[in-house]
Amino acid sequence: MRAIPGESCTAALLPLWREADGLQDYMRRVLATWREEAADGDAALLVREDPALPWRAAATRPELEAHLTVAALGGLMPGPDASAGEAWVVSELTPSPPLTARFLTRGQPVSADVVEALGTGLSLVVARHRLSRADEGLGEVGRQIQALRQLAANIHQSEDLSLLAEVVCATVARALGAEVVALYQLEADSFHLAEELGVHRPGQAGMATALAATHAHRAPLPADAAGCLAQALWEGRPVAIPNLAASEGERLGLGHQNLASAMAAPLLTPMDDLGVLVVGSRSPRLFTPTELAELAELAQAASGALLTWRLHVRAREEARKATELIHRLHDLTRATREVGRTLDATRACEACVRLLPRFMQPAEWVDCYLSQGDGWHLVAGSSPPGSLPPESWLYFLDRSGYPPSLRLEPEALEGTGFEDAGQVLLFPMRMQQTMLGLVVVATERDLLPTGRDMAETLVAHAASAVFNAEQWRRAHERSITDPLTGVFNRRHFVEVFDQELAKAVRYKRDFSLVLLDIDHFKLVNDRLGHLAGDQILREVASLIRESVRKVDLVARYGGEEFAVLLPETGPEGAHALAEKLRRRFEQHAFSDRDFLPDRRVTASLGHASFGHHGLTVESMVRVADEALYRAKHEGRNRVGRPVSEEIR
Amino acid sequence: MAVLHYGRREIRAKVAYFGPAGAGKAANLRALHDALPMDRRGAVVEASPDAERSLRYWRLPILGEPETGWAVRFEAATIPGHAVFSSTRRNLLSDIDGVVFVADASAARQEANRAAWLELRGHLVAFGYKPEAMPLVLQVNHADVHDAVPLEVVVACLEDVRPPAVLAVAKDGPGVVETWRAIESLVRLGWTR
Repeated sequence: MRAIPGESCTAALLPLWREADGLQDYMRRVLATWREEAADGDAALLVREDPALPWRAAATRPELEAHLTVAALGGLMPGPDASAGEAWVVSELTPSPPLTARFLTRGQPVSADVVEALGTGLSLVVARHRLSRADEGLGEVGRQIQALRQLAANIHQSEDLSLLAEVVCATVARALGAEVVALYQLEADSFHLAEELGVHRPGQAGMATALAATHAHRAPLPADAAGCLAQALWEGRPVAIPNLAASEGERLGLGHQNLASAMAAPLLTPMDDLGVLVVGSRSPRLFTPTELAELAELAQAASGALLTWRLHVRAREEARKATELIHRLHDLTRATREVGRTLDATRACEACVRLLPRFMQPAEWVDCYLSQGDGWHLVAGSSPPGSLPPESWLYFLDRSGYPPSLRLEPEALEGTGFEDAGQVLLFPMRMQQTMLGLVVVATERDLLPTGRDMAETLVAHAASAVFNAEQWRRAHERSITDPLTGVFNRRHFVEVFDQELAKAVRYKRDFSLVLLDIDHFKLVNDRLGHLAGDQILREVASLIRESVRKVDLVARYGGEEFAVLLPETGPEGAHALAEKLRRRFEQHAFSDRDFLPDRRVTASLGHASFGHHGLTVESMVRVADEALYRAKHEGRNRVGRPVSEEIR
Repeated sequence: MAVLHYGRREIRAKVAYFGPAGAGKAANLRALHDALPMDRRGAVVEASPDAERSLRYWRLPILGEPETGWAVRFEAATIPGHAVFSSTRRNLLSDIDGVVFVADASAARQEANRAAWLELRGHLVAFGYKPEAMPLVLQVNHADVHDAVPLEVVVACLEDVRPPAVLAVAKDGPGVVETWRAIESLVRLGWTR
């Protein structure tokens, strides 16, 4: 029987846990110490960290270890060792639960001090190991959490994509210890390199090359040629490419980084594919599932950040557009008001041409034509005076049913002088199925989406203004014209007479009036009928108009009576004109004259001059009328001399 | 490790001040802040990366001279020497470009110097750095204390490594800028390879 190790052994066992590096090391140290202290005593230690875990065994002799493990796994106490011929004594140790341990020795059981020292030692070693593992784990988890938190914080801070992309890349590089991180944004089926980070560790070569590198290839990468980027998007999960071909690196735009391996994680949201995050390595390597999972998690956080950024940018852009639209609508209101303010067609067109480019920037060329009789004339615009819209354009408008605006095809521009224009738009001015005018606009590129609508509105207002102007002109003309003969009516005659008289009074000017009455007009009506009578009246009016100056005013005064106002004309001039008119009547070949007595139409005339024969409208008319009746009385077809009222 | 931001052509680099507790690392950052021109440095930021604020560290942003068309931004950072968890202190070293080892000149602190040096070395190895390739400057701080030991004694605790050494009194400023210049030029030297 060997001596049981005493106090010295306990003292040697106690501090072992401090030096031990892990459980296994502690067990070995314990057995080594035991061997020294217990003078060649065989011993073994069986430890289970948890009842669910297998036993760990250590023995003073390696060959014993295998035997003990097998025995312990069977849940049995090891039986007598045949070779040693001595029974194992098992001492149950009492470490902190859930640890269980047994100390096996040959012969006698060990002392209670040793049992306690070993139990405490085991507890301390395992506790320290767990603590350090937890600490390590905490570091890792903390790093991840910190990375995710950093991403989340930056969602709200970064309005600038490059800044956001930079934060994402820096966070990923840090969290995964990556050498190269790049973020590609997917836009219109192309990948755009938004940010790229290269990481160089101290002592690593290649920094000088990296600093000298320029971005030769930063062009958008079409999705169908994007290799691993597209693959990650298609698969919807991170993909690892352990052996990245050089050509692929070139294609990614990361050729200067000499990537050997890469992971690519898609940036996805339920709504949209945003892009791809690439993590690369310059030396060939494999990526662990944990790395891929971590990248996926970071990519998910980055997707959130990117989506928020996109929505933010979109919202801001929409707000800007809305504000701009409101301003443009204000402009449009002002412009339509200005265009519609006038009753002059030309001025309305000029305003339209002047204001139209505001809504169609960049408008290079604006022309406005108005329909006049069978033809067109240029009212306002950039074309040289006398230009006409090509017939073919009018044909196109007609064929397409006169839409509010029509964009011409490039072939329609050939030979029209507009070949260089990006596009030419026709805006027909139509009211009540009538083509009043045409606005032609040439622009370099496509208009703003609302620009064309607004231009259409403005042109429609201009068309309405032109129509109104025409209606007003006609109404006015009708109100002052005699519908049968086309000369002015009596009302207008009286108005102008008043004005001319006022001028004559104010400026002491000469001013005369000639009255004319067709001789025997009743006979004409009776013999030839009223239609022929009307014809004679028309011819008379025309004859008078032809015979007077432009400044003179001709009016139908009564049934077959006409009046002529002669500004700047004295009694002699008035008499001469009256005589000239009488002679022309006498000589004129009136239609149907063959059926008339004397086969001619004659007239009797009388005149009066301001200052000579009267000072008021009434007196002048009276004098001229009396002179006319005198002429009638004296046998017709003559000019009656006026007799001044004052003289009488 | 230098991070190259290709988008804005900017290099970001980090230098850690490491050393035993009370050696004057934070004092170094404050003195450096005061000594650098205003347009070259930001404010000393005291950050607490974990929610419990059990861990603190200080950062000083420094704008360096441009390097072949790239803007250069440094960050000098330090963490208290007596932080409880070594792994969190280790994180400070996870992405560095250079180390200033702030040692205490006091005879009584030589053991602490050595312990800190071993810890630094262990961390560097754990992160896969080659300690001999890492730009390193030794600053022997508290050079004015009564029991200051000669420089050679302090260097001896670093075993076989012989980095450029600077004597400093960080709380008053001497040696602080020299230390920064030395580590900056060492870091930049590494970029020329």
